[in-house]
Amino acid sequence: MRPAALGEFEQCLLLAVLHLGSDAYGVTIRQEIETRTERDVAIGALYTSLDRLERKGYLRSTMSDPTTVRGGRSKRYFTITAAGATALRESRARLARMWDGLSADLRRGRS
Amino acid sequence: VTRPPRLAERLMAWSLPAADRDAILGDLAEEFAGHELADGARAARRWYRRQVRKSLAPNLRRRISHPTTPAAAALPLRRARPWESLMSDLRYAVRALASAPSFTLVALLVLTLGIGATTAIFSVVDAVVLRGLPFDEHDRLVAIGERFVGGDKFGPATDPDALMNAQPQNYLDWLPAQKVFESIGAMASRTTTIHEPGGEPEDLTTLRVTASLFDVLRVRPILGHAFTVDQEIDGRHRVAILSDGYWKRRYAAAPDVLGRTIPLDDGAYEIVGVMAPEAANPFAAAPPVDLWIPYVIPESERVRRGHGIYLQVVARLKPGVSVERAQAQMDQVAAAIEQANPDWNRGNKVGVRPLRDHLVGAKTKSWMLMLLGAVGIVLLIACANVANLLIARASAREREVAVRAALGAGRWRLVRQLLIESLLLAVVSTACAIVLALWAVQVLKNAMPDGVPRVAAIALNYRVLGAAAGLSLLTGLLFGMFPALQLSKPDLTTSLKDGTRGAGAGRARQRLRSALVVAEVALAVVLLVGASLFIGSFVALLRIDPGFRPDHVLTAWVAPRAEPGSARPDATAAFQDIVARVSQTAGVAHAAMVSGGIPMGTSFRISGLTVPGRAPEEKGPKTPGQISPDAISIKSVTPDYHQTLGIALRGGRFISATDTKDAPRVVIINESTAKKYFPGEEAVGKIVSIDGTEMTVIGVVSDIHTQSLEIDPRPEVYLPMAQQRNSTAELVIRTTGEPYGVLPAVKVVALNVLPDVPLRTIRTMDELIGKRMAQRRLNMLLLGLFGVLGLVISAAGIYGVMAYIVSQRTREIGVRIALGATRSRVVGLVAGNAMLLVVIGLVIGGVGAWFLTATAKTFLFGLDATDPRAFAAAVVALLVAAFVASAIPARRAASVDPAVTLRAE
Repeated sequence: MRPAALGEFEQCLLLAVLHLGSDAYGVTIRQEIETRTERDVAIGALYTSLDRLERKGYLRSTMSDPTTVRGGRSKRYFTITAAGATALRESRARLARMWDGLSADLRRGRS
Repeated sequence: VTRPPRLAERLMAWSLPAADRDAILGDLAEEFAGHELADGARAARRWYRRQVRKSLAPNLRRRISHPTTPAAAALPLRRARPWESLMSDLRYAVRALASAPSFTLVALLVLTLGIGATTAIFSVVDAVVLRGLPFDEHDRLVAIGERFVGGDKFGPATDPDALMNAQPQNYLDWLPAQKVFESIGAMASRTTTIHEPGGEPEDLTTLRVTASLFDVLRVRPILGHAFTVDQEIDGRHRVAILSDGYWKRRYAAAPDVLGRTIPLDDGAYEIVGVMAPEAANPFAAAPPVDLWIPYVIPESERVRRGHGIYLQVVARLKPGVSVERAQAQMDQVAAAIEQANPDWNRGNKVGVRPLRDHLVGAKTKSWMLMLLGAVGIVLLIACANVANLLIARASAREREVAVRAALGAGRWRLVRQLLIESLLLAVVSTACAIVLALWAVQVLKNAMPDGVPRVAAIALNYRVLGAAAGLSLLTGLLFGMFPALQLSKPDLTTSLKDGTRGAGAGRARQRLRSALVVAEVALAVVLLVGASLFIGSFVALLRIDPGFRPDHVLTAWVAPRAEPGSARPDATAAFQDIVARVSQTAGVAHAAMVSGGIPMGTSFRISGLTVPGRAPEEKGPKTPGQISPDAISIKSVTPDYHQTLGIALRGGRFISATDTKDAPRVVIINESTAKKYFPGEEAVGKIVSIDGTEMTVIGVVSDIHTQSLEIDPRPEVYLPMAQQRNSTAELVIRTTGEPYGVLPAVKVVALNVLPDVPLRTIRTMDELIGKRMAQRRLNMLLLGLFGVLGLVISAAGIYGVMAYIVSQRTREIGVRIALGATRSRVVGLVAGNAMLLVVIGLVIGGVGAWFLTATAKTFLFGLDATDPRAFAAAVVALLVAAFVASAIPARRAASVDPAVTLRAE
């Protein structure tokens, strides 16, 4: 079955998790998005989307052991699932098809 | 290492689904630590709060729709919490309160008024007095000022610790001599005028600051950069930092505002920064600051010749240095300066005070605490009243409680149930009270008199809401505890056997209720005495004849600008021109100008008057700010001045147009001056000397209250404006209709004569007087309101108890009437009961008021804190209220039909 379309922010999240590899948790994901897109995301909104992606089966999360730097609290690490990677690729392909045939000027303006 | 802001953290934890709490709080804590390292604790806390603010809504949405995360969903459900029984108690409480709607409504109303009033007053007191200044490590901030032995120029000091501003000469000497401060900064306020080509000139409230002030306060612009030391040099000083408010107002918060210029009095200033909202107006004084510019000490103020006491000096103590140690060191510094400049600096001391104390001032602080105390009494009365209502209800619920106890409810469970009811009442009324307070705070904020600091910071914020919540718990326990303890030890056999009356418990309960009524009355007496005293003060103030007619008078200040570095030019001709033209304007009856201050204004000029040929009165030490015995207030006025204000002529003539520059020098004196210098003589025609110039007295006018209605008139003289040099003056206009009606025409006239000078501080005389009375009016209104609340609530309490007594004694009354007691005797019996309680309350309250009103002494005017009239008024008000409150139950008692009552037995 063809996976449901991903929102722009959802794509950002999945891509950030991919970029971060084994170090993807709340802080790093937030900062990754902030540095790459200059977008200040509230942590509450971040987890709302992370939860949704996990519920859809695109992400998987595990809890780490508590660390002292964080006031003795544990981290929730995220990894992307195969379904997540497929959905991401599919979203990109859809967009690419939409871009196809548009003038080169506009394409350049994008980057 | 600082902790994240606690309240925000709690809020976050609460709003999150339980399964996510740990990870997300951990993320925030980690990032917070990073921000703290990079940008400091303040910025980090701000970041944290913003994160929480923006996260609340998504958190809650998530918590409601998906209480568990996918990861946690697999885990087994937690065991049900023990607070389920609490929930059932709560449901029970809701039902119990709903089943007695009239009781519930009255209790809610009384509590809402009490908590609402207290919350509103607390939010004012907190913002003005209690809260720390909004600066990093604000405890280390101090104010440094000069002090002159024996008070300041306004007479003896009311606050012995009060500091005056500093003189630049001394400030410059403090800098290298001191070793206790990390940094010292200075500022001076000033009005600057912006001259946009083609536009009307507009005044801006400007703060001139040293570059060091940014370090002292540890504030930085949000845009651009702070001033540097080399901008404190004349010629390089034309840079400006906008306040956040001005940036938004004038530049619509344009991000590219840096580098633009503002045309001010002495040239174009380049905008180099924008201040953050909380820092732009450091002391939340009115009016808000528009602009910061560098403070350049003029050359003339680097040498000790004239005196100009205008610098506000703020410093940051080195870590570990106490205010006392700083004071001790500055004492030495001051002594050294005095020794080096014995004449110029005689008797001149230096004071160091915590900045917050300096800004707030002892008088404001005690005023605020007095208001808080008064509203606290209202709250206590409300609590006593609700406790009273609860006890009354207890009689009706005795059976219900007994049944619950018989079914095995332990005492703790019973107490808990009853306490939950009262807490529920408290919580619901607090919610209503917050709505009430939201409105009341706005009203109070606008009613605050000038001169109260940090008014802008008054708001219902977390602190105030926290206090309200705490208050609500406290009141819930306070009024709920007695009835709960009382009711929870029911005498099972009697209550269950006989449906209505447990005689023994009833009597104890009756005593408790009577005691509560006594307490309510006593507290109400204190409030009412206070209210009468403040109302009396206000009435005393209203009775004062100002000596002139303040109605239909418009005033404005005209100050032609000075060329930088030189004194203001003589503008007498322009002033006369303005008067001549304004007088011709439609709607103007009289117009005049005065230099040296209008009545009820803020400025005045003091000089010395001597009579040639007489030995001058002995002179005290001539230090700046001290009044010498022949000091006199001097004003230079245009001919129509006295007619404009309606000041009466007592002898001789007014100043006329013939008293020109070339005519003989003349002067008009007021009655106080005549009495002081020429007692029992005819003053007109005498020669006096002012500032070394001899002049003839041509007239005597009546005294007027110049500074405020509360200060007695002082010796005052009026010189013809034409014979003086005048650089600034105030325009005074008597209008035939509404004063502001002539303003547009007057503005045009003034701008025609002086094109780049706006009319400033435009006010009617009634407004000026109103400002002077603002604090008294507010005191009167607040205390009056509290007094009425106290009176009504305690009258309700009296009514409740009396009604209960009558219902309990119906049978006895029936027997009495059957045995031949007249109706008036029965009424007397019931009313006598009430009056006994009221009288005990009156005595206790009267004694309390006697001591407590002494604290209000400094806020009274024209009467003593123990004025018998105030006590009498309070007693009469309470007696009348008590009479009305007990009349209804008494009438009911008198109408008892013995046949019906006795048959019922």
